[in-house]
Amino acid sequence: MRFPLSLTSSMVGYIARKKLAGEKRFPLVLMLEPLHACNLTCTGCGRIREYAQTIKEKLTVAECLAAVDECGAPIVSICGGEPLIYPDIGPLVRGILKRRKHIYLCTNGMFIKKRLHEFRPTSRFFFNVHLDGLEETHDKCVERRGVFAAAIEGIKAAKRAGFLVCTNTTVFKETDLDEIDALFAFLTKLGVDGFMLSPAYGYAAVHQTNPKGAAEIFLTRDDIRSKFREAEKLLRKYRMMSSPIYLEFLSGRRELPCTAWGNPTRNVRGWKGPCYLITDTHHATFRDLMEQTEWDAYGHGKDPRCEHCMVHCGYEPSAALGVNQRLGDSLKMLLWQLS
Amino acid sequence: MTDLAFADPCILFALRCEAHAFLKEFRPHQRFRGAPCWAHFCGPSWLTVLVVETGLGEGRAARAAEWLLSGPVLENVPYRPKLVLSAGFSGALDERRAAGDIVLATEVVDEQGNRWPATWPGELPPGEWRPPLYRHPVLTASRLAATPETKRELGRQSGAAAVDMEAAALARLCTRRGVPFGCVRVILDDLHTPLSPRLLDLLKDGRVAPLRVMAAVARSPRLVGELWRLARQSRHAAGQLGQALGELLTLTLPWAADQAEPRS
Repeated sequence: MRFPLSLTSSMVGYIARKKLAGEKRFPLVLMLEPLHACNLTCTGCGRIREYAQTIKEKLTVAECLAAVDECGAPIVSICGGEPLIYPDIGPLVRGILKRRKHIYLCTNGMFIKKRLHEFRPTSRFFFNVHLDGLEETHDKCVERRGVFAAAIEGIKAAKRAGFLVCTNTTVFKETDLDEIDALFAFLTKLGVDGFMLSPAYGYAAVHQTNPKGAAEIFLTRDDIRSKFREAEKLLRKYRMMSSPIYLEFLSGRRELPCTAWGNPTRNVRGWKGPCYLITDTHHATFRDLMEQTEWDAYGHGKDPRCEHCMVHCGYEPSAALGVNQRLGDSLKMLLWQLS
Repeated sequence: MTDLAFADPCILFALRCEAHAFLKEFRPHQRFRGAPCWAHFCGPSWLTVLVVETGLGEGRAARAAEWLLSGPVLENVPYRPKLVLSAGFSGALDERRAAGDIVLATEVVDEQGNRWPATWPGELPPGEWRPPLYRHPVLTASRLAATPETKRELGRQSGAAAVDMEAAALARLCTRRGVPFGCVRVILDDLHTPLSPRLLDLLKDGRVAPLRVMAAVARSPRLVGELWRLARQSRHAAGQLGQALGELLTLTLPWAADQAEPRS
């Protein structure tokens, strides 16, 4: 099976309960950013630029757990910033697991070995290591030598210790698909449990601080479609965690609307609205975010900032929730999960 | 009247070659005007540190530390470091320590037998550290220890595993002023590696002037091999030190401010 049974069953049960209760919008994955500090300064990162004023701040474990309870999503993606810099990451993960949630801990992988002893392997916990290419490319993307090697050491240590590990790769304009093929083949040999892939989002903060660089790295919607159509064959070879419906969307074979409310973001400034990528305001409560955001005002063709966005945090929930469903989609998703 | 102050930690290196790899990760972004030596704020905004290059020896380190702890003013705001770190190369006094090993001092000892505790980082941070961190006393000596016999004797007398030429000056001042102090040293030469008198003569000022090197090599061509080995070991040691310091600071410092922020 592609995902642990507990994850699939709790997600299916959760969606069914919400739909039966008639809820129109509900979260699937909480994007929890306990801090924005990071030991790296990656070229395409919006967070360290957008949150420069509050980069020394962090949420307490109690605030994080309150956000998990308030949101109620069955999956918590702990991101940031670099979560393995967060001093209380061990207690935070234990607190979330006690709530029977599933966790993706999104990390650059550099501190996995140092902090591995703070975690216990379970089917509810994934290390999600960000890798944008093989050694030379990745180290260039993160603007520091040695990061790829350290991340690979971290992956090996985590696998040896029995943890579930997946990777997340951002596709930029210059991304060479043959290299992604080689990267996934290499990671498969290391026993990595799955791969996520998403086109980069052209953060306003990156465009403002580095306009030339932004133009060189970010893809337009057409670029994304052509790149992912080209990648279709290679992606079939690997254990992709990106759903087949989302991948069809990326390659232009279908349309999906954005369901940004499916992945709400909580950080040091509050509940980030409207979505993980765009910031118009920060809400004091999750309810405010859900009720005060004009969701219909966002998405492709509605807001210029959404023009080229095809990022998974906006569109994977659409695939999971069966928005714009076609005949056979449910079977396709079931077979994908079982494969 | 305001009691606002900059409190970023300060790291004192004797020489640029010791700080070189660290500064690749913690890039300098603001000069501290009025400093008696090279002093720049470095690193990301959430983990800014003041890096100071003191020059070789206790005297120079003491002068830099006196300035540092005297409340120097940057843009009308005084600077009071919440932590002072002595970092750089050292020689091994213990045969278990090899070139490239990182020594995190438990205490600093001088040649008179005075001892000052290293109060940072308290307990050794858990987890697997690469390069590995070893906790030992560090001795500060007034001159380079050249022969294995000298090093062994220094180790026996002091109980230290590594020898440097600056840390005691900083430890003494920090202890007197109640400023948290730490010492991170990388082993440049192991216990069994001797330094020739000619090389010692070249290195005694901490700077290697090209003309002096050429003259020394002309007199003793075998010095080339020794210099080449030293350069290679220096690069390796600086890399190890840069990595260890960067990771130690990242995982221990930023949030320590939550408990004891001396800004107010």
